[in-house]
Amino acid sequence: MRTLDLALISVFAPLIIAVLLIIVAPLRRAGRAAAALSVGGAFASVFASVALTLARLADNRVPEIFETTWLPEAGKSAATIGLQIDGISAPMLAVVSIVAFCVQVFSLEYMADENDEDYGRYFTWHSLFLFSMQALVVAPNILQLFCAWELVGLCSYLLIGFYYKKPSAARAALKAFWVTKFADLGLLIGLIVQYAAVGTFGWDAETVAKLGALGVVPVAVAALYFLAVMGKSAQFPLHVWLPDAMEGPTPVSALLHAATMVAAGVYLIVRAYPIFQAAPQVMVAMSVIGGVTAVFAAIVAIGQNDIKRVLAYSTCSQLGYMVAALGAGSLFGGYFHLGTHAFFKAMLFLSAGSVIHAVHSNDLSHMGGLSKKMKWTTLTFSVGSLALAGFPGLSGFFSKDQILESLWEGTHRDPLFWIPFLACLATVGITAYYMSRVVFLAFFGKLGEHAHHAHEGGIAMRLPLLILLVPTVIGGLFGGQFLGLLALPEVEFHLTHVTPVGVVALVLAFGGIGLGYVLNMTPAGAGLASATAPVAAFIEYGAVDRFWLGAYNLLMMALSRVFAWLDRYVVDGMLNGIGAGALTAGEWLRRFQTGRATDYVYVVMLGVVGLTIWSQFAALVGGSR
Amino acid sequence: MAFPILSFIIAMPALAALIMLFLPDEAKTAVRTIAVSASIASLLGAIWVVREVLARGPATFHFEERYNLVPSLGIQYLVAVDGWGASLLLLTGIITFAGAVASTTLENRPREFYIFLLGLVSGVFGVFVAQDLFVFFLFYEIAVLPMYLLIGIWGSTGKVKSEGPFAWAMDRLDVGGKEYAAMKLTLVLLGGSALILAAMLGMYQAGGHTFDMGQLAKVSFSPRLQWWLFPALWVGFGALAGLFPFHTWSPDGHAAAPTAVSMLHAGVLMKLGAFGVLRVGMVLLPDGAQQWAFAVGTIAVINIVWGAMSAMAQKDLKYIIAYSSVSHMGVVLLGAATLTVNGWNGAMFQMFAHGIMTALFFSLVGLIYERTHDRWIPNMGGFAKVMPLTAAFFTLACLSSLGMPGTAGFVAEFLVFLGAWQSANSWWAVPGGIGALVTAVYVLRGTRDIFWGEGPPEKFAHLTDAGFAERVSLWTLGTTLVVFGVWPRLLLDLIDTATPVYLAALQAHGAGVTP
Repeated sequence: MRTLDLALISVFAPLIIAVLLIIVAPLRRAGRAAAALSVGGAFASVFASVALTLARLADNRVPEIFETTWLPEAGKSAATIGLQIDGISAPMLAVVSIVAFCVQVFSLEYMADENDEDYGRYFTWHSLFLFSMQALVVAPNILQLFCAWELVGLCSYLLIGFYYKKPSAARAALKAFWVTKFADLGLLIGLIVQYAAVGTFGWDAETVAKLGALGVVPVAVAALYFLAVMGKSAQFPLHVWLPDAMEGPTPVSALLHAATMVAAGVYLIVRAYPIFQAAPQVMVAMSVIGGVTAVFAAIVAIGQNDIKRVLAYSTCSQLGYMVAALGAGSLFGGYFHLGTHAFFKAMLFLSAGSVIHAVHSNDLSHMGGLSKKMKWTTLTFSVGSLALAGFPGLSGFFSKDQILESLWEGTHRDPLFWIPFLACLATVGITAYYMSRVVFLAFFGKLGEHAHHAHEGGIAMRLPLLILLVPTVIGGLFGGQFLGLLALPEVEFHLTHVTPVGVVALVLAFGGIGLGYVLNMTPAGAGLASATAPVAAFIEYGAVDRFWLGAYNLLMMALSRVFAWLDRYVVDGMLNGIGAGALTAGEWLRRFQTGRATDYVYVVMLGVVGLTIWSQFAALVGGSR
Repeated sequence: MAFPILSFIIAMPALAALIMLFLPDEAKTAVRTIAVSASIASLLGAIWVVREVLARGPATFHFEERYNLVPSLGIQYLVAVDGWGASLLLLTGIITFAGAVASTTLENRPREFYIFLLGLVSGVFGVFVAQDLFVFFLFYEIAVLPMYLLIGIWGSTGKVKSEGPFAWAMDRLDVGGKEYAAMKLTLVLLGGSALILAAMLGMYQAGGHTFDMGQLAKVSFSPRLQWWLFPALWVGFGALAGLFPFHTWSPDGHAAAPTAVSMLHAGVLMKLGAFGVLRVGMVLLPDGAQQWAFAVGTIAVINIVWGAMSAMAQKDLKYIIAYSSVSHMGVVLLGAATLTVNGWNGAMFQMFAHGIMTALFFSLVGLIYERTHDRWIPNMGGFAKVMPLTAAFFTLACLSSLGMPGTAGFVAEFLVFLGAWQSANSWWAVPGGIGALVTAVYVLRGTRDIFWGEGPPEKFAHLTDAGFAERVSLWTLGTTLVVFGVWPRLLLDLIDTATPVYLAALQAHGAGVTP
């Protein structure tokens, strides 16, 4: 099949299903049928996108772009809409569709307790979500990317708020939407600035060359774009929505945290990388913010007792890695980690979902000893954790290594890179610690109070975990092929390549795992672990959340009341004043309309006298001139 | 002679109203059938016109009809349509159809109601195609005046507390009542009309005793005269478009008005004002437009932010939507003030997008109010459980309102902000964007407070979802929002044929305007 056909299938199969389910209400309300259609659409997307990726691996010479005018301007085309298939978009299409497919299959069983209507609605939004993300990935310009970007935000809002009867879910959905929408203003204004400056929304070499010649403009554009990335990819201090987004069903978190919502931000940097490269100052800032996010979120993750929140903060932290690497100039490192992370984080979240499904609780203290009850889940969660911690041979090891190397190289160019480098290095150890803590607390030790009746889920829940296990384990081995797709001749990738930085990271990772064992599995460590919990709790719902809440209350709520009061009682009040004043004046003037002839004669007399005096006075003044 | 399609579109509603005059009060079904049929006839006519204008090529006027009315004064019945007019005919057609269908549930004097409503619609159609200033003004008044009766008779009343520096005036005027709202609306709009009339006569006098807009466009009025005439048109028409600080009739008027009237008023009538500023003010007075562009744009930005912030503090459902109209009409005026292709395209597109979106909003609000007899949001909650379809369409309207891509609202706002950045005053785009953000906060908060949450309160547990007529109306409007949002060229190709022509003429007159 031709590239265009495959790309169209990959993007539009989920859309057609979503539109069908939205319009044909009986089909949606049928529940099972809706789910089957949705999974079928996702499967078609997987098939097409994998075929595209294979075709790209075979021949990656020219990007294929199909586009048509979307917005006309005086008969010309101001903006196009279309598909760009190249070495960057094809693998991302595959990653997104595979993860989405696994999540949907997992949901078939996980969400089975919902009534048919909600079940159908759930899968409708999933299909729409997959389409939005695919449309974002294939976007040939930043405007289409922005449109899909907003739709991704919308789908997140709908799915985080899936349990719309729960006030906390409603709050979380709104928080996610508002925080990201605030950041999206950056993207909107940025792309307007770009268009006004160079006349296109593209990221091709020609556009970037024109932009680069404009002094401060590329810096402004890149900074504005990065603001949106900070919102979407949950970078400090705009990460506040991500932990709350746990209010959605757990498979939604798997999708959100792995391949769709938060991945969109990092993908924007990858896609528009030439524009960022034209703004070196922004790149440095990006790297620093990424590093700060990585270590901050990792520290917060230590103290969490909710299994999903640990994973949420870990996503935040890993996104920090990617951003830091991209900021340090390593397109390959950042993008590679986005891919490997997508698989193992999706697997971790789905494993967590499997656990939550079994013990009916998110709380780590309710779990414990699950390895005796749930062998498959123990395997997938442990391997996922090891991949996240950077265990040698697993996918996360290779991509993380790339990131640390690039940051280390960065320190030679600019001392500012010491911040992200040290932060990310420290994060390796912290990550290994908090993940091993979760593994030990949930799966080992003595059986927890909710764990007695726990059992493994059915085939629909196990199969996606096993599918995701494959890339988690061997994904790193394909780094070379991936690098080939990106067409970066100056970058090298070796599977066996020992560097000082890599050794230090490895030591830290093993140290973290060992510390996790000592603190959580030995009596001596228990006291220490509980002693540090308040510190982490303080950091978590600390100043950052309070700052945004305060801004919301002050700038939105309080200020709006001032506006409304002014509108009602001053602006409209003046109008009322004029109206009532006219009425009053009318009443007052009416008194002169007495109807008595004598009154009128008095007034006429008064007038005659007045006029006479005036004429005399005027003659006097005129005569003296 | 070709079929007078434009007169047909204008006449259908009026003809229906005329027939209804001779029907007995009891013939409610007949009245409803006639009204809906007439609206369908006009809508089909509008769709045909849109197709033909697209097919017949760019930028010129089509379907011209010209009859002398008062030859001694140069007054002619002159109608013709270009890309701008055609797109607004389509808007009016769609909303009239949706409004006529939605009003079939009205039980209180439907005959009189439809007579006024359809008379108003004829006036609206007339304004969008009139090419003679006098006839333009005539249609304009026909469209505006029935509102007084429609609100005064079929409206609903709320209560507003008197306080602040003008409490004495508020006590006197019974603020919040439907008679008050109807009176305020009519007086403000008539005040605007007086200004328009004065400016119109000024142009007539200076332009060689003609009202023909094609002729007037060729006249070079002295910049000094234009400096005086333009603000009269801007404020005069602007009053109907919700121009700050003359917008306060809008929240009270829309809150008091019955469903279909709010739909038409916010959906179409406010566009008459904006269309007047653009088509009469800016196109006929190019120097005036350039002299005043900064003021027009800056006040428009105030409109956007002021309307959005005021909407945020409201607890009355209708007031939220009404204030949001004030904010969104600011986007139209901002687009007009940019004097750029994108800005003007965006302004025209926003008229369409906001028209459909706000009509959808008001039909939903009317639907809720009809069932709850309550507009106070804190009394509501959890409605999604009993009225899921209503919740879904309300969310869709919110999304268009906050500029979600995939809905018409995004295309419009994006083009306007793009035009704003390309204009002489780039900073306009920033408060514009902030207005969109504030909108995201208040519409979604409203949605949550009304529809989300655990089941509705006890007294609203019996609520029913939209009925058949209401569904027709909702689907018509909702589909339009999405279709034109996904594929804006359906409309933009039409608008974009006219915009460069007008803009080129405007730029030929003065220097210092960015293309």
